[in-house]
Amino acid sequence: MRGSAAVTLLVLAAACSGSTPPAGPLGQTDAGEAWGWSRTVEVGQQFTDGQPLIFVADPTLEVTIAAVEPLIAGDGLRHLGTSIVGPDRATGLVQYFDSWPPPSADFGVPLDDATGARLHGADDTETDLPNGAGWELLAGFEVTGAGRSTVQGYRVLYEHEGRRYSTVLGTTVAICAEEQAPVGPDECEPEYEVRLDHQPTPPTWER
Amino acid sequence: MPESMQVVGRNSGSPGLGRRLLTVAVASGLAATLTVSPAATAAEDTAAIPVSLISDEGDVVAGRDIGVFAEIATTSGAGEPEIRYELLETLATTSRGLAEVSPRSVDRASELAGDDPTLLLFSAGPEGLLMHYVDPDADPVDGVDHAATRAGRGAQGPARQVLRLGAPSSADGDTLFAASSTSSPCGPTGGPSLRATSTYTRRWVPFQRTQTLGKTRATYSWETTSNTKIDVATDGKFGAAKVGLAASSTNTTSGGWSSALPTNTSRRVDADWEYRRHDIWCTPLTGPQYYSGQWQWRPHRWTAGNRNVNSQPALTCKSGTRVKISNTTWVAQSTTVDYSGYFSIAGVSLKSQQKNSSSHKLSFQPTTSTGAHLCGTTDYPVSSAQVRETT
Repeated sequence: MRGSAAVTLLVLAAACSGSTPPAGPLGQTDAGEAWGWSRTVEVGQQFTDGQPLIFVADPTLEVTIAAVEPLIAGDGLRHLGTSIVGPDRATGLVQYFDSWPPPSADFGVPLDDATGARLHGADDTETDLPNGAGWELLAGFEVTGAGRSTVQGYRVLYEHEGRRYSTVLGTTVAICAEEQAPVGPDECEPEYEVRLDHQPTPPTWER
Repeated sequence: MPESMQVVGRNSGSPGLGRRLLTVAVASGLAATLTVSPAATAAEDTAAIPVSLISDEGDVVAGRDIGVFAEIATTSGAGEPEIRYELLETLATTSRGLAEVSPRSVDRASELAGDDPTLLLFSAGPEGLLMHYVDPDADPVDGVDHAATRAGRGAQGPARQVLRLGAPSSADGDTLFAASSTSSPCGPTGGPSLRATSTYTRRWVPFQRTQTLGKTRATYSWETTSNTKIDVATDGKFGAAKVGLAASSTNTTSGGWSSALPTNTSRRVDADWEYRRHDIWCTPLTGPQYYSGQWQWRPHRWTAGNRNVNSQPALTCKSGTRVKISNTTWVAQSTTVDYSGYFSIAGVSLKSQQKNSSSHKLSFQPTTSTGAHLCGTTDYPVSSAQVRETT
């Protein structure tokens, strides 16, 4: 699943230049859908968000991920990296691990770095799901400060046949960080609205 | 096609605005203009307020609808202006191409308190009669993508807004009469129209279901009615029938409820909906109007009533959709859920349709430190019409 470093640099350079790559064949299953989770944790805790799912629109296509950028709001989260696990994983997704990196044994298949991963579309015979099982992103974070911080979504930069694309996944995380281990019921309020400069993008592809 | 028409609009329910005269000039083949000329009977109405009739053809043709829709803004001291919507008058066209004034104005303002935009328009066109719901604040996907709007403001007067509705074939139109034996209570040449009555009835209308087992609690939050459609029923001497889905004539733009499910619960949530009877009147091309003997029950508004109906049949997980959660998790899909067979009027089984959105969220809270599992009935929980806890 490793892609070339050259492709990665190409896409990242485009992202840094300020241009917005168009939507392409990678994205969520449906525009407008959103979900998220919330949790109170202790400062210094590392964790993995396993909720983002991503799909390739056409089974004949293959794309290469160049970068995964969590859209963090607040000062209390540091991105540690992102792994990916393919459609042959044992469970649809595992939302949360209280560590980074996540234990691959829980998935039944190896994990890979998301950067450079090559993703293909689902063959209809592979799964009973309308869009296939898709790919699960596993994003690692460290809680670096007290207070509320959120992940408003994930921007995924990727490449297909020499063209560069970008998509945003509408999945949120709300972290309420405390200096000491919290007690009692978790009252951390979820981040219900995905406040992005553009909406999550469904996978589309025009031949 | 007449070169111009005069429409006398009434202002029932809007005291202080007085009687208003609308002059509609329709120049065949040219860009049409519509002028609202308030009569000089009310201080705030002394200015002639030009507004533009939105028309890409500038002609009133059979099968096209034109409506006059006023947005009346008055400032009541400091703060936001008070805005009320009122349909002043309607123009109708016939399948013979004869433009005519709708025989009635729609007195929306007297129906309910509240500032909701309201509805409608109808005309007799080749495709039959349609009623359109118009909500200027709605998501364009939900009903106004075919309705153009313009606003004009006079030097002294309040703002006016005029809408021209789209072609009757618009998918967002709601069929006024079903294509059945009840489709023509007025016969082939009489233009049917609806008259709202003061007769109401109420029904419990289902909107969502979910299920918890032993490791989660769930909360279903429901806000506003803008994404809700409910079947219309017709009844009378031509018989009872289902007409089709329609939005309520009055939307509740704020308000809602939250239903909390404990563990091991299978629940459906219902809303108490008010239906209003509308008599169907006929307007022949010649002769007086007459009552057809047929009426419709149309969704009018959510009363704010709601209930939980427990012990529902289990939802079935779609294979491969099982996911593990460890934290409070919310889901807001863009899916649409239909419920049929739960309520009826005049012996006719009716359907409700709820389009899920961020205003209709389902949340799960794991009750154990080891987490819990969810599944969807049609896809992964994030994309599924319904979600439940699973083992």
